[in-house]
Amino acid sequence: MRLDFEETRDLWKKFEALRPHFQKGGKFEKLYPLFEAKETFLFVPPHTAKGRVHVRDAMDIKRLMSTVVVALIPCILWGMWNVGYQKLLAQGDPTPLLACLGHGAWHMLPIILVSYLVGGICEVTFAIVRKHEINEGFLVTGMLFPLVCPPTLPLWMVAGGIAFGTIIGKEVFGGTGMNILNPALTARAFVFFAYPAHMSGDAVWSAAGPDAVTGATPLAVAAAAHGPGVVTALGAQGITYRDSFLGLIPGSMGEVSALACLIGALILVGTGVGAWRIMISMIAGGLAGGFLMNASAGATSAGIMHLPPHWHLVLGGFAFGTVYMATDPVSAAATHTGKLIYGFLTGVLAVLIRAVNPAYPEGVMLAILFMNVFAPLIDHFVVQSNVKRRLARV
Amino acid sequence: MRLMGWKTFRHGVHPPELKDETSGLPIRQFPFAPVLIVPLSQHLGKPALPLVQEGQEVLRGQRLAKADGFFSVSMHAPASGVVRRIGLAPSISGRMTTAVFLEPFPGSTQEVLEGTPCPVDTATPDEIIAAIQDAGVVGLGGAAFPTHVKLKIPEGKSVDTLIINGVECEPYLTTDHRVMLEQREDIYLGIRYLLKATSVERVIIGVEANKPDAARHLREGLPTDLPVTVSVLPVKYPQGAEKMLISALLGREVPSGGLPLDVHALCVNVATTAEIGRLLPHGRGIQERAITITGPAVREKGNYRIPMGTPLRFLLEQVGVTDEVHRVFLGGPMMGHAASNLDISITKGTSGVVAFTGVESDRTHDREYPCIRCGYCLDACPLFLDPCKLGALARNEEHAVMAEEFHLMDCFECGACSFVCPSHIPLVQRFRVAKGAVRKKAALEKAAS
Repeated sequence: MRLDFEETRDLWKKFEALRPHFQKGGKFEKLYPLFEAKETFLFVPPHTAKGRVHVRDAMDIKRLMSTVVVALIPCILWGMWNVGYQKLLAQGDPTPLLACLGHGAWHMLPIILVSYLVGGICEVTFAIVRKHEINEGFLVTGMLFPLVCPPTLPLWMVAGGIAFGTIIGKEVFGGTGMNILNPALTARAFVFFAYPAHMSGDAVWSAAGPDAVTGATPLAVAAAAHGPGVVTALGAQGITYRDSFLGLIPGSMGEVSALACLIGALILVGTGVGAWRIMISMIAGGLAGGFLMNASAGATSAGIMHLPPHWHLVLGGFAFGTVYMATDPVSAAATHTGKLIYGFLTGVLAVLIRAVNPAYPEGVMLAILFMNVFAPLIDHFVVQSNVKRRLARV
Repeated sequence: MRLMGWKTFRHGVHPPELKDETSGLPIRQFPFAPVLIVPLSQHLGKPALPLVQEGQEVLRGQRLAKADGFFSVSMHAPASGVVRRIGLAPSISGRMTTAVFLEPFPGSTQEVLEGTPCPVDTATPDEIIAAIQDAGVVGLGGAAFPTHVKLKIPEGKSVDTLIINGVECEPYLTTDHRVMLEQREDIYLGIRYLLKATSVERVIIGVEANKPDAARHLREGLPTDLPVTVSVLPVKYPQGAEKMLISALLGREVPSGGLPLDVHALCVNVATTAEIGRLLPHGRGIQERAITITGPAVREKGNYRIPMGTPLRFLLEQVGVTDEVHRVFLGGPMMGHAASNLDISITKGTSGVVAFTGVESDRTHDREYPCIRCGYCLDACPLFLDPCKLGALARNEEHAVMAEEFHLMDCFECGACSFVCPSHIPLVQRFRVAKGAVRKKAALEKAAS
């Protein structure tokens, strides 16, 4: 959405006239980052490089961030439809396409708006105080967070969550690029642990009123079931593998559809923005974790222990976490081998948390946050092993 | 190494090639500037010692300066004329260096002086190496490393393969391409000299796949008695770097801090080879070289044979630049240096002159964003360094840590990391500064002890 300079000369001149007020000694000196952000959002600034490398790849950080937002569009649209669909379904109303989208937007848009607004205010405040530039990263964080929330989350919790995610998850470490944890997941973890009643249980996933018959999430159903007949138990609730893959199930707003995530993954991998190594290895890890659980499950253990491995991939936040959360470059491992290890362990851990601790059916969030902490260590060992191998060869 | 049947190296980047505008244009002779400024230090190593005095008349091809020791080469007069002055002149590095100011005679026929020939059939290896030094031959790919130093193989080392580098991986540049098309016989004669000087058994000419006509042309004229093969490599930057080319063609990795000699290989640029073949039979020296003058701000883009010491200002006046010209640099856009001054002259190491308008310059704007650890630079670095970590250390000027723990000194400044960095962090620029600081510190410590 960068504007062409020629077309917008007048607009540019108007902004230029305002520039002195924002520069040192001007009235709004302190708000310079805000002024400067306008410039980089709308125009390409007329600075020039002086040193070596007189050409650059077209892929810059703005395009990187906007590609992630574009890749989220399938999840946003599907989520919007599904929120409305689940609501109307629970109320026993007919579910035409437009009505579903309308009801979905009614619940979803305020959450996204609040997330962007509060996240943006935090970002701008820090930019002004720290005198650095506003970074496009919050456009991604501000969108990821609402998508992993239930549609019934009160707006003040959304505000609190995103503020926590932006400030504690990112800014206290020094801003974009310096954070250890994924800010969107930090925000979700905060809300999850601070207000568990609004983030878990059966009642929160559908936007229908309290009187309506709301469905539990498939993970909760699987956790509550006993013994090997878990797929039958899911079927009894009307949950099929096909529905779970497509996303016709209750759940967080943006993460129900594995199909939408798959489209997003194709966009991310095709443009080279998302790390396919993390996605592939995390899926492999999820399957491995699933087999491990199956093998160690007894006849009376929780149904989720018996859940076939491929079910884990389409339920809950696994697909969404794999595609959009685990691949966040800042908090993931950076080396090739490191990415494979990081992804695999995240996948195993996600299924492990899901199955072993029924209180946290949503293990993906915790698994990714946990592995975020270990990512630098994984990278360190990969680099050291490379050094050792090369030394041995000399 | 091999990748899907292609020989290439691992990592690297694909900048836009932008060679089409000049690759089809034959090399044309460039006129003489009213004053040629010939620096005495156009090569790595010691500056040459001047043999002429102010006011002296010289002939084109006459030796202006002689090599100062082994790690130095001679300099020859690019034109018949008068030495007006020997004094300081600006250079691309920003330093002032001693140069000979030569004013060509306007009416002269500019006949090139013949020297003592060095016949390929009868000359001994040492004679050839001495003749190459006398001819002032240096690596014309850009580094300007004296060629005879490479050819003098030290005791106890051996070389089995001579690689002729016709890769030309920098965007915009097409001189090596034209030289391969126009000077095939010179190249093969040059190879004969090189073979005799080093007694190597086989020769590989490496050409990138974007120059299929050059590869075909070379193959068609291949002399049957020469052990030469022409190898076509997929297009990738920086394949023209010695270490990468050796890795691509031979699958051998030059050790950290080592030379191609350590893996029994020797790399010579194709234009350098052609010059050896052109000059040695006549006992002449380098007085001119082929250069690509191109870029969006240039009117008469093309490949020109330019006398050494031609000032940049005269060069740009001759080819004509548009009013939008914004930045001029010598060399390719990846490794070239921006000119701070138009009185800099063309030297043996200049492979191209590229002029950008404001539009292209803007694309490389200075705004720096935070590192998001995307790892693109890790995938780009052909030497498998960690530019991400090095960049963070450079910011805090941790130069010692960079050199000791992260192999800073292995970096040959190809700029692939800066090219891919989505946050536009000037990585390679910082590494240059850091390398300079490390070298300075080492020199100071040496002086102190």
